[in-house]
Amino acid sequence: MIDPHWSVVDLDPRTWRNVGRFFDPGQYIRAAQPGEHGLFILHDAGKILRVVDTQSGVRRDFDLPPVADPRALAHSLYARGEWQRVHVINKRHLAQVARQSQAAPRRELTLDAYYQLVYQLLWDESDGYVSVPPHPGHWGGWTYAGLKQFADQLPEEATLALGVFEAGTVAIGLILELCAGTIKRVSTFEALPLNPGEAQLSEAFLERLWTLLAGPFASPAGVLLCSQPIFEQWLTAENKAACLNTARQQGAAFWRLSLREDVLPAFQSLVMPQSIR
Amino acid sequence: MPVTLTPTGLEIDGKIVPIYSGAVHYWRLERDLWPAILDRIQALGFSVIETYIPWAIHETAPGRYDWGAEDERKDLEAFLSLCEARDVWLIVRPGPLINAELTNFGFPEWVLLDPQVQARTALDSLHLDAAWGLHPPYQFPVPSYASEAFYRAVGGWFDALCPLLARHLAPQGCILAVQSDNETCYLFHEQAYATDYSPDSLRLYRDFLAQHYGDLTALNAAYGRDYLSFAEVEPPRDCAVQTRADVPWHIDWVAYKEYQIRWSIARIAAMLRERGLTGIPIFHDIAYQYSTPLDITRLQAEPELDWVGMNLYQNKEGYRSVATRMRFLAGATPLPFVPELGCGLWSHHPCTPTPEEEEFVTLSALMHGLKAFNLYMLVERERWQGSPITRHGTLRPEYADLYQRLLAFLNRYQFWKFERQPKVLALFNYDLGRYTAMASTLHYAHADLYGLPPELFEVELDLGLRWAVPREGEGWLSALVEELETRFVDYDLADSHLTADRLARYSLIGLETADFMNAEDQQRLLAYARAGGHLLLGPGMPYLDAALRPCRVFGEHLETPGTVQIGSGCLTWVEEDTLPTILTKHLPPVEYRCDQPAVHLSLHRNNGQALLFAANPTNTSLETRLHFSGRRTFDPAWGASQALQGEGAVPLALPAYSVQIWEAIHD
Repeated sequence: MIDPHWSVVDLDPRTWRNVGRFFDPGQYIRAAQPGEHGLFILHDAGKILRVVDTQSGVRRDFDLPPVADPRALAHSLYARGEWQRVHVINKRHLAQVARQSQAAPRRELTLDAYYQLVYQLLWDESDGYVSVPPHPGHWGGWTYAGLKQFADQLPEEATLALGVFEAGTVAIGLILELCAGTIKRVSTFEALPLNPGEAQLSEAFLERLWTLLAGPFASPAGVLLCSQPIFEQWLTAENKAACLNTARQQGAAFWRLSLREDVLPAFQSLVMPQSIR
Repeated sequence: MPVTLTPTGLEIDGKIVPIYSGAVHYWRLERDLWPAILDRIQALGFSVIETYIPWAIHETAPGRYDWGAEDERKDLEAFLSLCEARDVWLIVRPGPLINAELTNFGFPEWVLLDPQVQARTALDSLHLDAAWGLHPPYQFPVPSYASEAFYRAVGGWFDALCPLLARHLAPQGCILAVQSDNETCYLFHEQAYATDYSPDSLRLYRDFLAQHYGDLTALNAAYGRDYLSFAEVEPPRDCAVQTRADVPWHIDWVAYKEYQIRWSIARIAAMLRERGLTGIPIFHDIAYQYSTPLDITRLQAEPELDWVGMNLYQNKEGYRSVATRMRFLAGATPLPFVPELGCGLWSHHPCTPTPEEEEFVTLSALMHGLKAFNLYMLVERERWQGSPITRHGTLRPEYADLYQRLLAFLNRYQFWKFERQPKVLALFNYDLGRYTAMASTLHYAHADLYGLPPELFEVELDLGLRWAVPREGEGWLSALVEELETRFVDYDLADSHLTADRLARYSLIGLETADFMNAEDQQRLLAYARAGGHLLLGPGMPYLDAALRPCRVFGEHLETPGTVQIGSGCLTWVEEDTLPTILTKHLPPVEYRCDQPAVHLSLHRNNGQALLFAANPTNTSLETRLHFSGRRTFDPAWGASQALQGEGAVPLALPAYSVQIWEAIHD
C-alpha cells in the first residue's frame, strides 16, 4: 500500500510526534509485548541454546531436555503461571525466515507487503516459533488483509483524512492520498489553507475540511474527526463500530464517507459503526 | 592545502571558518525559492550550509545525467553559483550512499539490481535494507562495498560530477569540504556474522588475512590448520567458538568487517581526489557507533581522510548517550564534528522533537565537546519535518527562534575558540568490544523486529577467563566514569587504539582491562606512562593477547593490584571496589562542584574568559548550590535571566532537562 516513490510533505511536527508510535513494524509482527514478563527458550533443532527470563536474565537453573515438542513445552511452562508469555524458538526457523524473505530483491512487493511476507514466514505452522499465548493475528483488531481489501476498493484516486483533537487543538491532522489502492501522498492539515483556530472537533469543520481537501488533493472518500480518548479507544476496541457510534452521540466523533456502494461493506467491517450499514 | 582542518574550524586564507552549518537539499526545493530560502538561512545567522548530491536523482538512466536541463531543481551549478554570489560556504556529500530518506538511498536502481554489486548474508541470501528495522518506502538489495562492479559504477558517477564540483572549490568557490560516502556500515546490519559474504568481499577478506599474517605459515600456526592457499580460507558464518584455539579465526573476521569499512571509505575518498577534489578536507560521518566495526581512531588515521565525525539524533532522555558520544569525539578526533545534528526528524522516526528538546540536546552536545556541526535539516523537505524553515521558505517560529538564538550565542562569544581542558581520559578497551561482537549470534534479517531479549543474541563461551567481559554501561569503566561525574571531574573518552600524541594530552588515563589485550596497544599505553602519564587499569591484568594467546606486557610490571613507577610516570592496577580510594588520591582538583550530584558541569575557557555549562538531565527540577573558591559573578549567557554573585557558593535552579550557560567572572 506504500508507493515506492511516495511523497511525504508538509508535516506539522505535532501531528508527526503523535503518529510516530505507529512507525515500528516490529509491533505488528512480534508476539512479545513491551514490558511483558516473558520466558524465551532458544533451541537449535531441539538442542537448547539459551533460556532468558526478561526479568531475571539468563536462566541457568533450567534443566530442560532437548525440545521434542515445542508446543507442549511452551504450554507446560506457561501453566506454571510465572510468565505472561512463553516463547520457544528454533534458531533454524529464524534463519529460514531471513533466507526466504531475502531470496530475491522482492521489487514486486511494496514495503508493507514485504513485512507482511516476513510476518507470514515467521508465524507459519511449522512450530518454528511457538508462543503461548499465541500471536493474536491482528493489531488492535486491525489486519493487513482488511486494510488492503479496503484500500483496493477505494476509487482510483481518493483522499482519506483523520483529525484527532486534544484540548481543543489538533493533535493529529493526517491526510492520505491514494491511487489504485496505494498511498501516493502523505500530508497533514498544514497543507491546507486553514485559518488559525479554524480546525475544531465539529460537524462544521468536517464539512469545511471536506471542501478544502477537494482542491489540492484527490476527491475525499472518507474523513473522520474525533477526540483523543475516542481515537485511543477506536484503535484497540474490539467493536470499533460501537465505539465510534457512541462517540458521535456524545459529539466526540464526526465522519463523512463518499464511497462506492461496493466499497462500503469493506470499510464498514473495518472501522465504521453498525448504524451506517 | 587551501582549506585546512584546525581544532577550531576550517582555515581558509588564514581565517577560521567555524563549522556551524545547516542542511539544504536544493533538488527538493522549488528553484525560484532558492534565493528566499538562502535569505532566511543567512538571517538566522548561518554562513555555512550542506547538501547531499544524490546519484540517482542526477543520473536518471545509465550514463544520462540531468543537471537542470529537464528538471530545473537539479541545476547544481546554479545552486553553487548562488551560494558563491551570497558568500555562503558549502559542504557537499556526493555519496555514493546518501540515504536522505530517498527511495533506494540515492543509489540508481540498475546499480542495485546488478548481481555483481549485491552483498550476500551468512545464509547466502541477498541482504535487503529492510533486514534491519524500517527504511521506507521500498526495500532494496544492499550493495557490497567490496564489489568491483560497484566501484566501476561509482567511478562513472564521480566522472560526471567531480569536474563540476572542482570548478567551485574554496577559496575561489564555495565548497570547503566534501564527505566520502555516508554512514558506511553494512546499511545498519552491522553484526559480525550478518554480512558481507559476497564473492568480492571474501576476496577482500583473504587479502586482509594475507596482509595481516604476511604468509600462510603464520596463518596456519594461528588457526591450527594446514591451508595450502589463502583462497581456501572460509570465514565463520556464526559464532562457533568452542575453545581458545577457535578465537583467532573469529576475531580476524570481526577485524575484517572493520577493515572493509575503512578500506571502502578511503577508496571512495581517493576516487574523489583523483577526479580533482583536492585542496579541501575530505571527511566521513559515522552513524552512531564507537566500537567494532567502527574503529574511529584507525579511520581518522587513513591517509586519504582528513576528518571523522559522528551523527547525533537523540531525544532528551538520551542525554547520557549525547555526553558519551561527544566526549568520545573530543577524545579521538581533532575537531569534534557532528555532520548530522538532529534538527527536525525523518518521517518514519517515532518521536519528532519539540524545540525545547532540541535545545537541550544541542546544548548538551556543545557542553561535552561538540565543536562543529551541521544541523540536519535546516530546511524541511519531503520525508522530513520539524526544521526552522519549511520547504516553502517560511519560518517555523518556535524552531527558528531557537537556532537564531543559538547562532547569536556562538558568534557573540566566538565559541569555537573555547576549549574544555579535561586532564582525565577514560578508554574503552577495543578488544573487549571485538570479543562481544565475536560471541554473538542470531544475526539474521528481521531478528531485531521480534522483540527478543538482548541476552538471546549473546553466546556464552567457556574459555576459562578470570574476568568477565562487561556489557557497555556496566563494569569497571562505568564505575570510573560515575566516580568522575560524582566528583565533577571533566573527562574525555576514546578507545585503546588511540594514538600516542592524543594520549599525551591527559595526565590520568583509565583503561578497562580483562584477561586479554592487544600487545601493541599495551606497549603504546606503557610508553605513555613512561613519558610521565598515570595509567590506571582494571579490573583485570591481561596475560593473553587479543587472540587469547599468552602475552604479558602490563603484567611484566605488576603481579598484583597496586602502583608501580614506570619511567617518569606510573602504572596502577586497581579493582573496582578500591577505585574511589585511588581516585581520591590522584584526581586533579576541580574548580566547580554542586551539592546535587545529578547536575553536570563543564567549564570552557578561551584566554581569560570562562563559560560554565550546568545541565540537569533528569525529569525533575533541581535546586542546588554551586561551590567554588573566592568571590565570583556569573553572567547569564543562556537559559537564565539574572546574574548570580557570591563568595564560595551561589544557588542554582535548573528546570528538568535543561542546560544553563554562565560567563564566570572572578571578582
